[in-house]
Amino acid sequence: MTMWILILGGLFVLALVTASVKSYKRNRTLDEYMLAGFNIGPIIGVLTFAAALFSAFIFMGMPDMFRTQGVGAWIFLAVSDGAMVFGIIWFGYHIRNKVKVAGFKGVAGFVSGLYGSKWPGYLFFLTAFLFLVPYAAIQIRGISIFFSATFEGLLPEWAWALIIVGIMLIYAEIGGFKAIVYSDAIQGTVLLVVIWIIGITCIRAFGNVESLFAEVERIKPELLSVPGPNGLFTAQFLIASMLAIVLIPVTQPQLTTRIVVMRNFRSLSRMAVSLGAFAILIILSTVFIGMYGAVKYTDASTATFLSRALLFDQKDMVGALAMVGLFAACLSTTNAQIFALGTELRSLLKGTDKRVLLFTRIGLFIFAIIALVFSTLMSDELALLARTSFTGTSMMAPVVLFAVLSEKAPPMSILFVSGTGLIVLLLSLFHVIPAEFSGIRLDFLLYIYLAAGSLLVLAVRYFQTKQKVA
Amino acid sequence: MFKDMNKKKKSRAYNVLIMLAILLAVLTFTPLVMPYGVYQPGFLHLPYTLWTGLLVAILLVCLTWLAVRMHPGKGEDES
Repeated sequence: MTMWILILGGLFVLALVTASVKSYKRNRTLDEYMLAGFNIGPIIGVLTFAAALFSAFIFMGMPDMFRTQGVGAWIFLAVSDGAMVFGIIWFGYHIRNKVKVAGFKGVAGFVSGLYGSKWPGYLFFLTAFLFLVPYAAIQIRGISIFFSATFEGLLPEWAWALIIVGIMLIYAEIGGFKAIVYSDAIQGTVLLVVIWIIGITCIRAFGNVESLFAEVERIKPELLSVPGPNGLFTAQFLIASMLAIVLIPVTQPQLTTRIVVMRNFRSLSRMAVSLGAFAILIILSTVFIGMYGAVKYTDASTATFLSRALLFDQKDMVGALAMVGLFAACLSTTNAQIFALGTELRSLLKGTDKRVLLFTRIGLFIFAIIALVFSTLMSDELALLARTSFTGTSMMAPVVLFAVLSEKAPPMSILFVSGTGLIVLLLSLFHVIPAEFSGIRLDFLLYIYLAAGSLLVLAVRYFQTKQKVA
Repeated sequence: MFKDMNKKKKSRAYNVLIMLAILLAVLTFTPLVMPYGVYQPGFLHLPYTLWTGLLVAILLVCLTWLAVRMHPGKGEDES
């Protein structure tokens, strides 16, 4: 396998270098460096969106979730993604119309401009920082555990993490957003191919799909229905998850940016529909890998299951391809998140292009180092930690939606609604307040609070306008 | 005038599609798609919640495709 890893890994690094060099232009503008000149077509668009969204989380988190929590994971991610792509069309149309008028450097700067105040931008940036850094750290953590388990004794986990962050920083600093988008496209293709090859191998190990599920039914029938063996997939959990996922394009800046930089609405539309199909295809394969693990590695640890199912139970070339695919997956998502923080920082900075670019690059370096440090402190539950990141940033949905949908400057009172939602969520994550009240999940309650608060702000504004007219 | 009528029709169809997508998302959380502790009847050898969930996801993507075709702003920012 080592020879295959060297060959395929070499090809991947070569593709990355080519992407960076092709994207590098000596006298490029700040918009070309940070936003690829707002000119991304549908094919590259779907691959970069998918790579920034899924990656290591889908490669490692989802098979493990199917293995330990059961088929409800399909509703958790695939159905929620279906709703999300519909949302992309609706939200994408409105935000792109607003961008035509107000311009776009990053979501934080964009909302600040529309509110006519710095505070909404600061709040958005703070939330993105608080929830994207751990999300980036999850990816680094996931891949370093995996590599460390696979190449036992070769390098410690932190060294693998350092290699990933080092490579990511080099090509992001050289190539900018365009290099990231191209590398995402390479990674998205590798991800889809590799995950299906592994999925088919897992089915073949049992003969066919029928035998695979028959075996799961014999060993652990609770995996075949909701709420699953640990009772995770309740309607409440799944509804709150769907809301968090539907709001990803609104509140996760790396994905909002990818909507804005699409060439036109037609490209965006094609990208959204293809993304839906891509999501179904890719998640379906993880069902089979997860069910294979449920039978073969019922009580094994996450790292053991993944290293066996993805590498050692595969043919040498497939195992090596999986290794490269995983590395690429981790690299692209982490990069998208760290670069998004750079973009958000840039949108809040003022000064000459040269000065802003310098501070943004320093910012990118600092964010990457923080993510690296965090990665040594994270737990192994990739999918659930990713969900926490989605939930956290979704607290900013009212701020962004009011900015995008209001015809006049939006009311500042909406900041209070999002800000209090964020504080309550953080208090619960730090176990200061419980995560459940009278059997109702806190995240579920928070979405009700955000919706009610937004309606109240709307009603107050309506009556104030009516009074002024009278 | 015909252009306006066409846009109105499209707008109505687009709003109906939004309603359908919301309805479908809500139906997902009912026993119709995810009955607790039940995995029969299967389809194509897949357990009940998996094949119904697969159907919902495919329908949502189809609705997205229709929404793109019926979108009142289709072609607005072509460049």
